[in-house]
Amino acid sequence: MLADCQIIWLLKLVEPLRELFKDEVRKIGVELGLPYDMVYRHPFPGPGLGVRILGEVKKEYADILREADAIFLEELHNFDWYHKTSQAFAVFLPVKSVGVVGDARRYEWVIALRAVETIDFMTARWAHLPYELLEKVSNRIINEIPNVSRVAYDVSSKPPATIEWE
Amino acid sequence: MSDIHSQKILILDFGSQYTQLIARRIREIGVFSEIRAWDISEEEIREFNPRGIILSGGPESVTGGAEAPRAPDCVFTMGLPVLGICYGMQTMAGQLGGRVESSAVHEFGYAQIKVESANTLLQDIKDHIGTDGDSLLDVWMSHGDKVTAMPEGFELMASTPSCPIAGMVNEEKKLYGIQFHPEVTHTLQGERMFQHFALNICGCEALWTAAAIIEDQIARVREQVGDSHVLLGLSGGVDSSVVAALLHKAIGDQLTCVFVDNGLLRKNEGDAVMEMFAKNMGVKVIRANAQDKFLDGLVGISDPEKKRKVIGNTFIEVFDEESQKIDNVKFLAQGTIYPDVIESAASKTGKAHVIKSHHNVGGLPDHMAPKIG
Repeated sequence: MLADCQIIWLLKLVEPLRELFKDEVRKIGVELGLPYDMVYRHPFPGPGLGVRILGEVKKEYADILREADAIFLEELHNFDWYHKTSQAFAVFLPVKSVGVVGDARRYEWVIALRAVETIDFMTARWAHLPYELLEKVSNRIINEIPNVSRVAYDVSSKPPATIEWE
Repeated sequence: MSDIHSQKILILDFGSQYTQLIARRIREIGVFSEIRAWDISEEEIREFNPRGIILSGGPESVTGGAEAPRAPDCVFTMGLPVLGICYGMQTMAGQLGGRVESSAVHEFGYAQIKVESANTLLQDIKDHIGTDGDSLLDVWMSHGDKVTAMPEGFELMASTPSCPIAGMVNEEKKLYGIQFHPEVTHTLQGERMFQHFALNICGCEALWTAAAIIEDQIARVREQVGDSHVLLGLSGGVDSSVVAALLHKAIGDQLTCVFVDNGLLRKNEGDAVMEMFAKNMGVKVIRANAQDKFLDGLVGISDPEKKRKVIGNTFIEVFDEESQKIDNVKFLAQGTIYPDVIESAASKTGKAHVIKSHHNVGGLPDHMAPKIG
């Protein structure tokens, strides 16, 4: 239960976007001088990476996922695919898989990549990203993050799958 | 400055999946529009005071007898221009004495209509010229029922081989019915049809522009908050960022933002938000580094719904703690947008016109944020 002392429930609401559609919010955002990249960025869930780490959340997992996610987004921008997708992110799967890096056997975590195209987020198609882009992202994630041994791409559409994994 | 809400279009929703698109198209051409449920009262319509009314499509059948949704009768007698789209055209026909019949064949997809008479709505809109010199338009159809007899006083506006009355018009009373959907982009010149309706037929000026919306909101926010302080949960998302920029412009230092780092953000997100808002724009932002608190609360929890609950409740605790440090706070700003308003009203009452606010700190989904009032 919430404590009685919380004051935020006593505050009156100010909702200046209450009569605007999302495209109008974006238009006034750039008109107000916010950068295009910020105003046209993908939506991000309130619980954040908490629902992109499957199962129990640990700092170690969040740190790995943050790096993998950053690589994915960076390459989407480099390949000019960020704005062609509606939402794109990495997911941390708490399972270990075997790999070989150099001569060493690696037994580490799995990262899934998710990218979708949608108009209204009610239905969505998995984005047909170029193989070159996926290859680059996969190589970079496995080479740059020692705790990852495998990268998978999610080819489920919504419905039946949801956009987020949890 | 003109009041940007003074000249507006009312959209009555009969349940079409495209209703919000109609409102967006009208606004794109610079005219304010709002969506209300089809069973709105005459009093509410008069209070809203529109320059014209659009009746949306919908999944029901006009032939369904007493159960079938109808527009309030005053819609056709107030002297206002009315545009009925799909179901909206059918109920217009049915209510004014025409005939609507169900058809075994459902027409769905592209169609080419032939313009049958000169009229203000389709004036100078041509996609192709037919072999007989007729104007042909590429449009999007999605219907089973169709109008088979027009009400008295109406003229044929458009037809297709399978839908002989694809459009009807009573220019004198400014009543227009079209069986196709101008709001979807597959209808090539839908935008121009809405321009003709809103600007030429209803006589609205294009006052609804980004710059004018900002100016209007700034004035309203200043009036609402006076010299009190306003608190905003800044998440780094589009909506709360735009609210921050708008309020900063409106009330400057009376705005304090709280950015909660929950340890579950994207790489460099916290730094980027602080850089842009605090450093570049000079917005007052408190950064609450609560990573440990969130991660400690999540230990041993693997169920997704339980995780969401823990994250939501921890957020509110942290946010509240930070907000107690600010003096004279009377208001909480939120990035609620119009589709949230429509959907929350519709889900609670089945109607779009009862609109109630609720606290939703930091844009958490409904099921995460405990709410009052």
